[in-house]
Amino acid sequence: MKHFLTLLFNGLTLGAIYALIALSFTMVYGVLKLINFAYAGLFTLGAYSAIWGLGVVGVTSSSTLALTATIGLLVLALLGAMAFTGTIGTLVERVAYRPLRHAPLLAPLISALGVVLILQNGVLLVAGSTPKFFPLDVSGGGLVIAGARLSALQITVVPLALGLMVVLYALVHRTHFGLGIRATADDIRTARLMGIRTDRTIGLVFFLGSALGGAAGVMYALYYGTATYLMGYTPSIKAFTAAVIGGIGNIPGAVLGGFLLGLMESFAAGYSGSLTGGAIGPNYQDVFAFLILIAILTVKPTGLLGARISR
Amino acid sequence: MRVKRWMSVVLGVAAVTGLTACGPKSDDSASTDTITLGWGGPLTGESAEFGQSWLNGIKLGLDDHRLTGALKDSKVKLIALDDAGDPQQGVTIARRHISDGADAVFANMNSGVTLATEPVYHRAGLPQLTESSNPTITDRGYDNVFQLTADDNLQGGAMADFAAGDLGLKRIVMFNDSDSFGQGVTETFGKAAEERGVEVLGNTALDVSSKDYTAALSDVLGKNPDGIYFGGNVTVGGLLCRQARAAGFTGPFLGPDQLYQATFVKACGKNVGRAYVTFQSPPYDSSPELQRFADAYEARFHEAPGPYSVYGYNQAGFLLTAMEEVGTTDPAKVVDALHGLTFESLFGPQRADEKGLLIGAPLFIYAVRDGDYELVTRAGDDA
Repeated sequence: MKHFLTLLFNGLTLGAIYALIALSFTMVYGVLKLINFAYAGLFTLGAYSAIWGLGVVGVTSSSTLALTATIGLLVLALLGAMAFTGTIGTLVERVAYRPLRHAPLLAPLISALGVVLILQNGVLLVAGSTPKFFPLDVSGGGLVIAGARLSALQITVVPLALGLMVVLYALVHRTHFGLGIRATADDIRTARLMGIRTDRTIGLVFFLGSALGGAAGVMYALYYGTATYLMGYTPSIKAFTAAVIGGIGNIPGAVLGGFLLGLMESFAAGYSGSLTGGAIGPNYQDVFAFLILIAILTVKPTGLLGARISR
Repeated sequence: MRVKRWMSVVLGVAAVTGLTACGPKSDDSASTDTITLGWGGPLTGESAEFGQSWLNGIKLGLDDHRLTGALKDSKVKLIALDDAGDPQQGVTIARRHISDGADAVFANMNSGVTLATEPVYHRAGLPQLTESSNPTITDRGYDNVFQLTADDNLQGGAMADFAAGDLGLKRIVMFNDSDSFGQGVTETFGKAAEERGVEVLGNTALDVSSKDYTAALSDVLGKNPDGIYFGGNVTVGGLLCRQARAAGFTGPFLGPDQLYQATFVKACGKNVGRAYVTFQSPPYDSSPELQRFADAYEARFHEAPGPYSVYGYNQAGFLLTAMEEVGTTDPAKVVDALHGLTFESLFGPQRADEKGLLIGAPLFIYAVRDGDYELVTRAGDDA
């Protein structure tokens, strides 16, 4: 029971982080049919900007802070990092994607891969290759349920991902601005003829998506304590996968896919050793997770909730 | 148009051949004037801290050594190239050192890289001094390879002694990072621990690209171990330690030399608890020679000597002494000289066995205390 609960909590935490990036993928895909791989870089930028910002304020690993101060600083760091990555993401759209909007779909995809390389190597150039450490430590505290520990961070991350999903969903489906997004997603030319400022709408979609990607990066660095310039690669591939399982372009689908992938990974890693008598260790966790994914996509190629943002 | 294109091809070919002609050095006869030494190791990536401190030690050792005899007027030139801890990069660098006319090489730091470059340097017949500790390196029968450091058999055995004796551990779980160094040292530790009556509850290979070992930990911590041994690189080790502590494990966390760096303590976080590592150097204040070395190092590089600085210093002296003895840089003769040489190192007289492995390499056990490492015991002292 303890083992099961530990794996469950861990899977939910991982899932929440995947879900945040999956939301970013899905937003942009829903509107532009573009897979914005730049999130791998924005994720890293989010983590590094938070660490840098905290360093400027004077917080180091050795500072001892009250819990309220820690949470306050964390919220500030998170908001700061989101504003920063949001801005960079909007800039990326302006420079690397907008000129290619009427080009074949593959052209912006290649451009996105280029953006990832530029962002990652930019971080390498500025911050170097040695890992950076997140100065705030919230790994202690929390609850113990049937012997399994649920840390304060885990308690925060899951509701946060769900909350952001609800906010995004409401934004897209209940507001005037969301109507603009859905109209742009349906037919960009007609939307423009109807007086929607599509360039501004797309810019805002990129801002939101990039801010979410940056927030995920901060949480990832906080959870694992370290950040490296290549840290965004694996989570962003996983998040893209999560978005596809849920049905890319679909907001609740991205969150469902994220949690599903996180849980599958955690359980695959936790049980593969004992089920195979140690022959297959947890280093094969991704193989298990992706086998299940292939199975899902074979049965439901559009993903579990497969539908685009507007429908 | 046609003619132009044809001409440009000819010009292109001419340019390329021109470039390659001036590429490799052609003055073989001048080898007594300049001793060209190659260095390959990580200056970026996971083990950059180790690589840089090893390189600095070598630089200091080369500068401190007064050449005598036939090589009295020779200048030493060191070409250092970054392999980033990547075997492919290591082999590329090996080819470059060979084509640049290196007389001997210091290569490499990571066991996986050394295992890949050995055959390349062996074919060229160059003396290769490595800082890697995987025992296979000197077991493959390459006579040009010298492993002047404690190998993993020694590291695993010493930690097993300490775990079974001083710590009195009974049930240990092991993890490794799926790399040749990590797997090797973990297996030797496990074998040695079992011989000493410790129950080994499993050896789990971890995925380096994943950062989440909670699931793997949860699986084995259910068996109630009283100690964890981890063999592998510092990033995985730090995260594993952090996540083991977060999961409520309070027993000793044991590991090899890779965990002897500040990164480990930082990555593990505030709850590092009881952690012990094996390491090849004694503290610098333990002998006047070492203290002098540490002072000279600090004066030159403006930082305290790193993990393998002493080893680099010793290897530099070892190699140059062998060259002096034969009065030439001829690789075959230098290899022969290195095999028989007893060298006065900072640790006292040292010699390699017939395989090229250091005889009686010193090894120490350190504990993490207040964010730093503190000497606990010299391995073998109380056995």
